[in-house]
Amino acid sequence: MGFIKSLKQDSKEFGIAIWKLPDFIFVAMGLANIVVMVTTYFWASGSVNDPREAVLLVAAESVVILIISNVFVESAKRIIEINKLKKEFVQIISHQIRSPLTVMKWQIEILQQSCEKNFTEKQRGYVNRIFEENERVMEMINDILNMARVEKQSEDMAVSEVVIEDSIKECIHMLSSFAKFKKIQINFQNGNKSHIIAADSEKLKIAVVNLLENAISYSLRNSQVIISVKESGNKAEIMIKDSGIGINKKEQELIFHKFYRGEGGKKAQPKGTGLGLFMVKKVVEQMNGKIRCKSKINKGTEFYIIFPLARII
Amino acid sequence: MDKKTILIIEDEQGMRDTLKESIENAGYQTIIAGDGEKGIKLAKQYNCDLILLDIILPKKDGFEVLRELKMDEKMKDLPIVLITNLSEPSDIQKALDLGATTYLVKSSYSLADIVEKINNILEEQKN
Repeated sequence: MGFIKSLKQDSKEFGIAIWKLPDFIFVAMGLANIVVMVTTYFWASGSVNDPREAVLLVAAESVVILIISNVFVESAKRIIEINKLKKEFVQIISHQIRSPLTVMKWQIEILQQSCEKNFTEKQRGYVNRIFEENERVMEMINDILNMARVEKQSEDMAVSEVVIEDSIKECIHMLSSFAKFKKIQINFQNGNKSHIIAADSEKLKIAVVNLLENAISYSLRNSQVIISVKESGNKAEIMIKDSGIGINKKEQELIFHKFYRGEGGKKAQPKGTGLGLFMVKKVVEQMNGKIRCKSKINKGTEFYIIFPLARII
Repeated sequence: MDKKTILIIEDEQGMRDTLKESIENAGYQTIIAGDGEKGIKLAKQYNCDLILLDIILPKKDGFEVLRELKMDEKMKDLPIVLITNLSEPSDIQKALDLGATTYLVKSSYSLADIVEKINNILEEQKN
């Protein structure tokens, strides 16, 4: 029982199936070897006259299986090693790189608050630019981290009943300083209903934060981003609407592809990764949802994410 | 009226100094610990009102510190805010299960947001 438990733990930790773990392969190949040896022995004792030949056959088969199992175990160990490195890399990014960037962000905030009055227009521009660039690097790192999280097996999903409105409020709070900086008002058209879906709340937040962040990034200053939730039959529909640069018809499907960046998007945000919408689509689909977009150039874009509705309270 | 005391347990100096300055500017007094062990010692020694606790710390990590403080009868109701750049849902869940008041991913919050969080938690505590 202890062995199975440790296999389950390793499988969860390294994000690979139990049957691909080196310990599992080692035991399975050992059992296979015993079965083959016994079978060969019985077959040989009936078909081969010289007992030495039978022993030789059993030994030869056993050696072949041992070699094969060694190859399998070594490959599995290498996969584990790579997964460990991947995990460490993610930890390094999340902690070692984000920490100095956070200190920079906070120091700029202090600079903006305490010294801005003494700055010339040009100096204020420099400080704002540093803040923006820092935010962009942070966004890229967040994209990479989210990507690593999203690409984990769907068995890692922590599905529970989630109140969409509560998740949206948290996402709005997370982005409030960014919206304030970009002078965008987030208008949550929240009725008095709560829409409940079966979802992984963290992944739902990844989707909503990404769409909201895009809406804020591509909107004109002093405009508003609207977010709303409504039911449509047995579905819950989240809409995020901006009045930004828009996406042309040809690109409306392509924007969900990995690393794809629309022409307008490249001009407005030259340093994006092209991972955001790919990730949003992936997490939405992992939770049995769908995403679509409606857009008009220079009028704005509406993104809809649709999930099976559990109930409304 | 006496100033409320915030214990900051954070090993990175840049982060620590910036937090200290903002929190003091907001009218609190601060105590600083640069590692987990010292954090526990200072928490037991001083009567602080709230603890800001990083996770990756020398000597004892934030989870161990949290576990130990929550086991102490005198401190079980003391608000402890985890403030870190680890954003894995499993870390967040672990901290909340151990009794953290809230979990803040540093890079997602401005200093003003953090001070506002502290104000709100202490306000709620008062009521």
